[in-house]
Amino acid sequence: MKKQYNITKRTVRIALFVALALVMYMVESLVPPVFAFAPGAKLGLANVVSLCALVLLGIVDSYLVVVLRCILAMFLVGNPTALMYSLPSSIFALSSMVLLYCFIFPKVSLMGISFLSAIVFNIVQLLVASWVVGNIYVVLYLPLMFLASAGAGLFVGLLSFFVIKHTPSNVYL
Amino acid sequence: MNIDKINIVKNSKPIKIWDLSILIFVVTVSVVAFFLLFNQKGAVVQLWIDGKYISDYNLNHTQSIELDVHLGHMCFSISDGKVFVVHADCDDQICVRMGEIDKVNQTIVCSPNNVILRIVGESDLDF
Ligand SMILES: [Zn+2]
Repeated sequence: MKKQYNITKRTVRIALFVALALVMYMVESLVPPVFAFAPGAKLGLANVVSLCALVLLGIVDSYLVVVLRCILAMFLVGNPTALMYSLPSSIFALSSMVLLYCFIFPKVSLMGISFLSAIVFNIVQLLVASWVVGNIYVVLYLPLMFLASAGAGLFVGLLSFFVIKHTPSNVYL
Repeated sequence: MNIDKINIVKNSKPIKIWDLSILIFVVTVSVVAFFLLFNQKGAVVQLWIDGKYISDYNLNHTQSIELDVHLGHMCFSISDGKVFVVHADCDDQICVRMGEIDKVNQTIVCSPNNVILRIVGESDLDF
């Protein structure tokens, strides 16, 4: 009986986070793309949900949230190429979060984790973009991309911090 | 999930000295890299479509070039040693928003149409 309850709770939690991530994704696509100065450059608002899922739900469930979010976002946008950009970059970004969170947290807090994962996120987006257009020189955008990542990381880090700080413990216990 | 770590987050400040160091390091490296990469004025702009080199245009000749691309039409202009996309039939308009470029290694990309404009210097002209 107890186990059944836990599985239900876990499913609902994952579904909740996927829904939140999709909302973030849609919000980002509504914002005028001021950050889109280069192919693939993105704020990565959905990374807020990845980071919160990692901290509040654990490693396995956070991967589930990310994969489900990417697949559902593809159906919402109706564009299969979106998956080609979003899935690798989100998975690599989450993996960098997992490594940093497991090994150097709390020396580096969520803010630092969010900076570094934003960099990973944008590097992978750029690599996919350079593969799509068949020209490796696109990676010359990296310095600009790093600056954008610093901004995006600051935003994602602050947002995640306040979300986790104010989440009541009955959500994750 | 790890309750101890959640409580560490709840009881900490939003930003710590290590986070700040990482931020400053990243910003410094990217600014330095930016000036090292893009400091030389270009001579020629190369046009690549679908990963294939098409032709190049001298930056000293003021001209407008019209192209037929995957999604329709594209037009870029060269004047005063600078290149910019005037108009492009693409959904993201990133190429138009990238504005003017004039330094070696700078690139304008239109990924929906798979078009790349890349500036090279005098020394790269021998290929
Ligand atoms: Zn374009």
